[in-house]
Amino acid sequence: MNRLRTYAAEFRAWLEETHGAGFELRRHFFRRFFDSDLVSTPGQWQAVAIGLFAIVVSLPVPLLQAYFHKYRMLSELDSDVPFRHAVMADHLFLITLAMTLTAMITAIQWQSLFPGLRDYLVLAGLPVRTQQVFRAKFTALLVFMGIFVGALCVPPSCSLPFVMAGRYYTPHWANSIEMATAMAASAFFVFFALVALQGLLLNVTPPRWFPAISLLVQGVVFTLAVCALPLVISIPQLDRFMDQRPDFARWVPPAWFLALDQWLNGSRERYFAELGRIAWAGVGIAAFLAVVAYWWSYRRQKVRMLETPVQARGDFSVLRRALAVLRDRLIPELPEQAVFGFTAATLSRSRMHRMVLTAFVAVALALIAEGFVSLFLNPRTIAANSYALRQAAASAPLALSLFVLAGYRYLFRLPVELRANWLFRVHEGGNHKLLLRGMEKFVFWFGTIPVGAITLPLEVRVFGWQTGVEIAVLTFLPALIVQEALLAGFDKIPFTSAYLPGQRPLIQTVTLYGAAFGAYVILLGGVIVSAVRLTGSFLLAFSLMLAIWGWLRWSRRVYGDAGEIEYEESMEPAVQTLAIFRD
Amino acid sequence: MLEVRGLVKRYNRVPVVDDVSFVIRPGEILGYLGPNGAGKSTTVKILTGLIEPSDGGIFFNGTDVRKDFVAFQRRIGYVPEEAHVYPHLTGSEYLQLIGRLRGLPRRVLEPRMEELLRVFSLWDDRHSPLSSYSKGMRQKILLSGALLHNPELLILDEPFSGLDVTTALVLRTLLHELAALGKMVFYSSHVLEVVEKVCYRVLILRKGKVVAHETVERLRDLMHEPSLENIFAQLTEQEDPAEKVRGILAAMQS
Repeated sequence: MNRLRTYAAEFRAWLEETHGAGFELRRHFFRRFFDSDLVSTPGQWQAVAIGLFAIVVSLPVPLLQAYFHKYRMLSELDSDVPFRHAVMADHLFLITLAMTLTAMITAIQWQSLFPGLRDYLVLAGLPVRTQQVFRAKFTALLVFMGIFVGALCVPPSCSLPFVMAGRYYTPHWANSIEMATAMAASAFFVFFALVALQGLLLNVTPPRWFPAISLLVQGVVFTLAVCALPLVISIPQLDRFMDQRPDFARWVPPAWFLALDQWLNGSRERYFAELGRIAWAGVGIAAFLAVVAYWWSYRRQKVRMLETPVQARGDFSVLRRALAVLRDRLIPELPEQAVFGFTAATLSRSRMHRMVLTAFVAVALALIAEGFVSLFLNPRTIAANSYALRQAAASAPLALSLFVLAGYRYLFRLPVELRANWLFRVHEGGNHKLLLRGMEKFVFWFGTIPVGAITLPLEVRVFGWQTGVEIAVLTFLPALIVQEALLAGFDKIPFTSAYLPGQRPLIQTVTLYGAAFGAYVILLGGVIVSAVRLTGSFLLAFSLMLAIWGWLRWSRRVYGDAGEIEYEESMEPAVQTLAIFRD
Repeated sequence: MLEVRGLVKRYNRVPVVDDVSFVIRPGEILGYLGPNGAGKSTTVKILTGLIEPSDGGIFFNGTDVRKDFVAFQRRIGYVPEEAHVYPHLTGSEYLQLIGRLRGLPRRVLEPRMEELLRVFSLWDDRHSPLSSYSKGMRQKILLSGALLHNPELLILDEPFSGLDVTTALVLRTLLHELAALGKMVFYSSHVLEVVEKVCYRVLILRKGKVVAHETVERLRDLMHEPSLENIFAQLTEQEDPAEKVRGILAAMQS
């Protein structure tokens, strides 16, 4: 034990020592993967990172119990065919899950995949060559992804074979290694492919267009990855198709890595051998392209970044004037206009804030897609006007409004240039109610209204004109209620308050959203579909929702006035009291 | 008239501004001087409402500003020491934001913005984000924002920082003209040469306490020193620069 402590102390001392430029650059880049411009409070992001790591590592835990019972039952059957098919489907599920989560984390780290302008500016004047910077960035990135992929692949690979153990399967440690290899290969294939894609964009797109195009690609990759999750989760149900060997599998990367997994596990089918070779080639080519992208970028990117002038925004005088007239009508008060305009400008230009909103919208889309996908996977329920289809259609605006509005509330807490909030503090001028109303109007015009407008055609398509409009009205009112509930007690001008992340454990947040989704989207969706059947029940539901919204709005106006705008976020107390006070 | 009486600000019971009092009458420019850590920025933050004083009072035209701080804030224009601005906003958007927060209607705001942007030679860059502005350009936009609503009291914290020679000359003349129009100017700075040329009266702080509060001329007479720099060095007990340099060289070579 003492020797261990000595080694640990020596290792810490070694880490604190100055090493070569390459090591120091790698250390710098590695730490920056956990950095954020949002907070200056030390230790906060470590809490979030540890929470995230714990979730990734514990992902297989809920699976194990389900798998244990499933494989016990399958082992009782006379034939081993259902067992083998289930094993293949579960391997395909884990491989696809690894690919999807890797795509998500790579999309989140999209801006850190290559050295950026800030790196060049910070490192300017230091005795490091550009080549060193690129090498250090690439290796730091590999270490970061290696840790993530390891945390993602090792726990299920080690546990699953032993859970499957039974009459038809004898586990061995080699099986765990083979499975982990297939999962890790699939994850690295996705990672290298995305690095190569970002490298291609970096070198091919005109420098002025690059930020917009790169952000678009980042948003698309992230949204696709999130939307793919419901599909991925339904893969174990595809076990009945596992005896098929379709030709199109050559074009489906998860199938390559399933074949690789089967081949490593001892299957000598020619089909698996062929697809397995494609899998290795895929990883090799993707890695090669990523290295080429880095090599190519190192020669060009620095010049492009440092020498491209910042583009002035378009004047659009006519459009500006037209919008100004509209704005003056809809938002007559100047302080309201100030916050409305500031929020719109920040959201349209801050990459990080747009990504956060994209993430919330992506989760909503994934949940909406899940409703429809499960219908399509079960052809019996797709019959037109089936209750399930109608409920899925009615749930769409509810899911979207819940996540868009919650997304706004969350991202409004994330500051942009925190120290510049003096501008609002000095110029608040007793207008705090009007300033907060500017934020509220932004949420209404850019959240609640667009959600209702976008989903109206879906409702009309599924329910017909009259019922579709009724559904749209009954889903719009809950959105207004959610808006009121979320903005109650939110006395902040968007993007101007200090932010303390990790106040609530991630798992608690996920559970809360899950509960809100269950109650608000699934239950309320069912109630709304039932309510539109009769005019009386529609009117009752409409009146009830209107009354709740009116009451919430009135309560917020009367009791919710904090009297001042918050610019500092304080930590929640470690011990919550019951808040019982004597008058 | 701005009157500050017995202003105190303590952090962890340690006073960083300790019993500071001064008056700025209409048409006066007060130079607020002191070495680093003397409490200048803390005073500015108290005057602008960014932090609360621990003790003391601020009176504007005889009324305690605490009674209606917002009304006081409406009458001040502020240029902060560091150019903290929202970098994603363009120059015109930044001024528009300030104007709206100040409640200036569009018919008043837009011509003023245009005029200020042209005068400060920022017109061509009005649609460029502030992140692309040089330090001097940011300073000009901050000055424009402070002047936009024609304030009675200007609180300037190192306003000449980063300005080119021409703009600095313009600003110096502008301060004199504003004073002639009866405006009050609170001018906090390190640059003694500029203070000497711009200010009628100076207040020198040392470790939060006022060590001098006189007209520049009277200070010269009292201290028997020809320049404000020497007076400042004496009052703030500056260390011998030559000794400091020897220390720096020794540290470099150690």
